[in-house]
Amino acid sequence: MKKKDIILLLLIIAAALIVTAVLALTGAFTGGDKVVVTVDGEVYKEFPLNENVEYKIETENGGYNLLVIKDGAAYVTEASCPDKVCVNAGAAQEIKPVVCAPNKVVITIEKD
Amino acid sequence: MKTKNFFRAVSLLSCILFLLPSCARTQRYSETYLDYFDTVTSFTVCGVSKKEADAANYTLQDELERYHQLFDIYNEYDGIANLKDINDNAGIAPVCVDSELIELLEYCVSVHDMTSGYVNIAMGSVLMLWHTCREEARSAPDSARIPDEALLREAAAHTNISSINIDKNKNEVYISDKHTSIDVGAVGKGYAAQRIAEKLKACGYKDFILNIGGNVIASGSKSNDNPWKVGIENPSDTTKTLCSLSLTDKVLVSSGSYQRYYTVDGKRYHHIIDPFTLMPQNTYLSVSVVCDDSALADAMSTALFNMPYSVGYELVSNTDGLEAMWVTQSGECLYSENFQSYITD
Repeated sequence: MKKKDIILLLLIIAAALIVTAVLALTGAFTGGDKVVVTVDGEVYKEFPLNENVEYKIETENGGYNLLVIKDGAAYVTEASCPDKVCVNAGAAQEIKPVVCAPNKVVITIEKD
Repeated sequence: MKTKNFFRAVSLLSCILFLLPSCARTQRYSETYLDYFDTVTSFTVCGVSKKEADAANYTLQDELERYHQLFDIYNEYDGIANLKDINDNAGIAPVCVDSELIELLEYCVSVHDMTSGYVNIAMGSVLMLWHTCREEARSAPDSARIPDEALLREAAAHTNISSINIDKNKNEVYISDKHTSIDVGAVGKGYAAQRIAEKLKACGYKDFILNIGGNVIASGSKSNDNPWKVGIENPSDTTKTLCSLSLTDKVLVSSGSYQRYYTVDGKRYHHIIDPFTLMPQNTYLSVSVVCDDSALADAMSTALFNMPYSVGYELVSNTDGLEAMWVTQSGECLYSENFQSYITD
């Protein structure tokens, strides 16, 4: 009984550690800041904020916004819209998404 | 017996270890709105269920729409007497309006006096000239122009705040000079944000952050008593932040020349018009204000943007609970006495 108890306990602890480790590694547990792009209210694509990437968001109206994620900042450097509000908006913050109204593109930061 | 207790303790610990990952993340719900005040509104609420968050969003959207329509000077709406109706009836007749509009206008008059006229909602005619040029530039950037100086001077002769007559008992507003018009652009969004936040709090929401076009209200805390962290943009490179502020039950508003502008012959003209020079003021790149009331913060950031530094500094020092940061044309940061206490890394 005692020996089995110990084995069971070790198994539980091991399982807990594995789950924690997996969550930590996948970024679900700590600091997994995400860049979420929605077009017309629907999630279009997600990126981790800590990876440098350039991505062309293409919308159904034939427009585009060039999203740049660099050094933990996500911003638009180029866009098809006439007013360029999204380009002038600078980096997205958790409480301040970058928005392109003509293309209905919203870029938000989701923090953990 | 002792070992049995020990095992129990360890089992309990293991269970807690299992549960830890799931409760480490506080659920947050965010929503973005594009249809109000010609700007972006974003809202994040914490510590509530999905259902409660949805209810908060319904309330928020209703209120945004209501204030947007009341404060609109360009469009009319069925069944609502708004600022456009008051403007259209300048020199003609008093207009009976919602008591909320009366309160806003009274507040704006008090802010006019507090800021020695640096915030003047009666300068609608001047702002309209700039607005027209900005709109024209949007559709035809190559033929962009600035308003004619003689026209600006002429319009400026009709910006006396005492032309706005408010009858609180009858809920009526009358502009006695037919060339004067109201534009609450410097106060409206901050005022609406403040009122909406108060309504959400009255509905029981404690921890949320509301941002109506740069008017940020940080209510309560983000999670586990951690304050909200809000970055102030670097006006010279908006992809970077200048500094981050740690805010709990505080509001932050920034006015910046980089936010909305148009270009004429290679020169930028932004949207914050000085009531005295009738031109965009270029002393600062941005001014940020932290205090307890978003309407005050909105008005103050506009006033400070147009004021000389010494005058602005004195105004901030003499106003309870108000702190400010100025970023000058050369990128230098100037602070009021206690602004830096909000700065975090």
